[in-house]
Amino acid sequence: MTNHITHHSVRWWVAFAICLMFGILLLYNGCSRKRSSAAKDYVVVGIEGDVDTFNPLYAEDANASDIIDLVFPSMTRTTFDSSRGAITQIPSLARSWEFLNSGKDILFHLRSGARWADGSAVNAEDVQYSYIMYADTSVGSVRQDAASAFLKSGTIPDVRKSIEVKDDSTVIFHFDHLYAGELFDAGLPLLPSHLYEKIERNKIHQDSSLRIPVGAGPFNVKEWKPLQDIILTPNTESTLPHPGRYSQIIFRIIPDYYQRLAQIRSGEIDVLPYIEIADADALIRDKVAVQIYRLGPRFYDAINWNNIDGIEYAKSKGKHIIPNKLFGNKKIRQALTMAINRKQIIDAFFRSYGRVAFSPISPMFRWAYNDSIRPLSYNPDSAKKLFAAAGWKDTDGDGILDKDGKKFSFVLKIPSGNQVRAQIAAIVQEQLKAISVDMKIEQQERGAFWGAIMDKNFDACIAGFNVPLQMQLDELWGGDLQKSRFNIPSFQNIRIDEILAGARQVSQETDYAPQWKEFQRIIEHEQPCTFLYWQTDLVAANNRIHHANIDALGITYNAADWEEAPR
Amino acid sequence: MMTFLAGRIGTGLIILFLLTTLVFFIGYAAPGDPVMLSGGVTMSASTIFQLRHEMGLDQPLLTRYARWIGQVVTGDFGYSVRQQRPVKEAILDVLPCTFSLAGGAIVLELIIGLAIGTAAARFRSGTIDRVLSTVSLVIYTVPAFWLGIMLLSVFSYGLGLFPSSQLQSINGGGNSTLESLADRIWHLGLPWLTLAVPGAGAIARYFRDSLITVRGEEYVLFARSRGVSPKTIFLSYELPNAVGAVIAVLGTEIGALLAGVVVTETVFALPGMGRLAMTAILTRDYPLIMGCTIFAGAVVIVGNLLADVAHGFIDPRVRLA
Repeated sequence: MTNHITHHSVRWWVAFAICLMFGILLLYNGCSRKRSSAAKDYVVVGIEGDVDTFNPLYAEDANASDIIDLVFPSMTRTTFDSSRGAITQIPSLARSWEFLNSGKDILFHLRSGARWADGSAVNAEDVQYSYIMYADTSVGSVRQDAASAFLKSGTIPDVRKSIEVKDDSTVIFHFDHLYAGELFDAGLPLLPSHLYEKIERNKIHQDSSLRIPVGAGPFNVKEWKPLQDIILTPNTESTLPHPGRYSQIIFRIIPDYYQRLAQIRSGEIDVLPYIEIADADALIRDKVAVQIYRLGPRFYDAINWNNIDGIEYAKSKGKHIIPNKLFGNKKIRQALTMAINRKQIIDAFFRSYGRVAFSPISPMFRWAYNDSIRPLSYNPDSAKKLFAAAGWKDTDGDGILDKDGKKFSFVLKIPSGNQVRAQIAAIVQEQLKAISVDMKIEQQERGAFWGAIMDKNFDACIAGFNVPLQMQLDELWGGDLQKSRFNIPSFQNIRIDEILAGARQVSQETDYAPQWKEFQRIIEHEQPCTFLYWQTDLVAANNRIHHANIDALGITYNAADWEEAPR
Repeated sequence: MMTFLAGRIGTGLIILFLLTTLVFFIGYAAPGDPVMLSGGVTMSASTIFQLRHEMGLDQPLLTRYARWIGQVVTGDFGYSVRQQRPVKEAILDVLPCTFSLAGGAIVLELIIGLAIGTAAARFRSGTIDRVLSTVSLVIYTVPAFWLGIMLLSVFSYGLGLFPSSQLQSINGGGNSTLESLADRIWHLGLPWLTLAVPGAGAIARYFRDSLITVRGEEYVLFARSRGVSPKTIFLSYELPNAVGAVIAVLGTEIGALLAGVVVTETVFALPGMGRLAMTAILTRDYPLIMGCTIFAGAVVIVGNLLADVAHGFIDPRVRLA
């Protein structure tokens, strides 16, 4: 009996001890977490997905590009002058520059004392070498186009001829023509030639020694834990412009938005990009210690009407372009825009963070934005008249317009996973039904959606773009549909092509304002697509971060200046 | 035993070949362009053309398949488009997380399942049995994503007892190995539960039924009539004979476990195979999709093989069958 009791007691105590150990473990971890959050000397940025690479030759991901800007040196840095609504270039590795040869050449004077994180000097050779790498087709950089305005040997950019190294601190860039983006294109991230030269050019893409980069910017990549964290630490040797002030900037990869939201509330993360409007309101209402920053607006959404017959285009491999039977007529496109109540959509989804769009030029570019244009207003009666004038009537009384036996019925494709777009599509469907236009909605997985759009296999689709900081719209609006792959509505207009071509030839981007304003008037008149809204993105950042001047340039572009706010 | 093993391995390899072939052709038949999905919107047409050429996307499908098979035979799983590194390296990086998640979950699943099954069998047909049987049925049918979110809501967001994401705290949770280990366990607590609970329900039900059947066998009745202690009867007669059914279930549960891993890793933002595969699918990273398929297929086949072998050791009749 005693033995029996003893065995039971032992088992009981073992179980109790295990439970106690787990309890202590939990308490210990809980307490240390609270301790650490009280004395943080680092900043955590919550991001949705992992980056692709930190190699500037190949990085395509937006977060990767942001981190590369913090790690690699560049000749110039971009800033945004919000009063003029224009970007400007400021010195970085280049301490100053002067334009020569009527603006076709730029003489750069390099800063002395800049060093790579491994101690080697950053010199003029690195500048020339970097552009050789960007331009070399065997390297396969995604930024090859930056050398497209360089001097050529035949048709191939000749970087050695275009970038002349005068001495260790002087470099001259020669361009084959004058254009506004010269300084911008001269500001690509620079590569440490002493490390890259050791690798065969066609092997650079796959070389694992470049996975953790060696830079000369304010931060080093200390560690990259795939699908977890990217940890940056200050580059104490940096003079471009100075070492980062926080001991670490951690990019924490959390795929679920609501987890990121919960973590900014709990203080586990300090910066949450692209927060939804209602959640931003809730953070303010609940007195969470964050500030909400506005980005842009740089993003627009539009209903793209396929201006051409996509099936015929695909069948003829792009050789035969005929107008779309439904959307080939600009009067019909105008009518469709007038039938959609964009203000109602903006009031419902974006409130003061949205604005009716009428062209791909953002109101944040004040110098180019044409504020004299009054976008087509919601007027279903006028829309009906335009349809009737074009011969579209409901002759068989089925509630759908028809003409020559063809009904005005089409499919609107939207990418799945975006609730706002799905709801907007439903609203548009109702509003078009009111003018007897039949629209069906088809949600497609993102990959399938873009596949169909690129093949021009669609009637209409909702798609949007983040506009670039430089006013380069050739890829989106150029009339050569083979070259301008992202001309989603396949809109072709001779004057638009002339304006786009002229934009590549001006020395000062802002000098071209009148032409850009004309561009917007044409787009508004032709209505190749119904621009829905400009959306201002919101970013929540903890109040303890001082100098977090988050603006149109991005979220972390000035992270080197971030520091703990005085308490 | 060797014939038994050789037969199972041969079948496994054929299944793996058929599986990967099927996934290869289905994957490539799916619409969507990997270049477009990995940032092609910002690239010029010529760069896109060059990237597609480098990835072999401009080659006929059969040529791509032959090239891929040739590479795999030599142990080269290709190069991940999105991760921009060898597929093998990308998979090896995330394996420790998936193994620790799945391994811990299996252990927890067994502990919970066997405990519930034993208790239910012990109080057969009584209230406790009915309650436990209902509980095990309910937890077996609980979807992993729902359970994960509920556990997060209560224990992480609500009580703040567990972290809501990641495999470790910032800066590894501490300086010493012990602190680091404790931090890992703390982070894996809820994911383990999420993954283990549904499987535990299945094990509990199988084990209860198996235990009840074994208890009615003549050799158990004989041992009992000879006055052998209940503890010895349970450990020496009932458990080895009843656990065979559980091992067979575990083998078939590996596939479900892997599916659960995808959900659990996504819900808890863990850097494992499931999330890697998910990212690969969404970005049409074909080499990585194929690498993950081979790996997942191999795990299921090896898991089943191990379960068969273990079952064979415990019950020689299986070996002879």
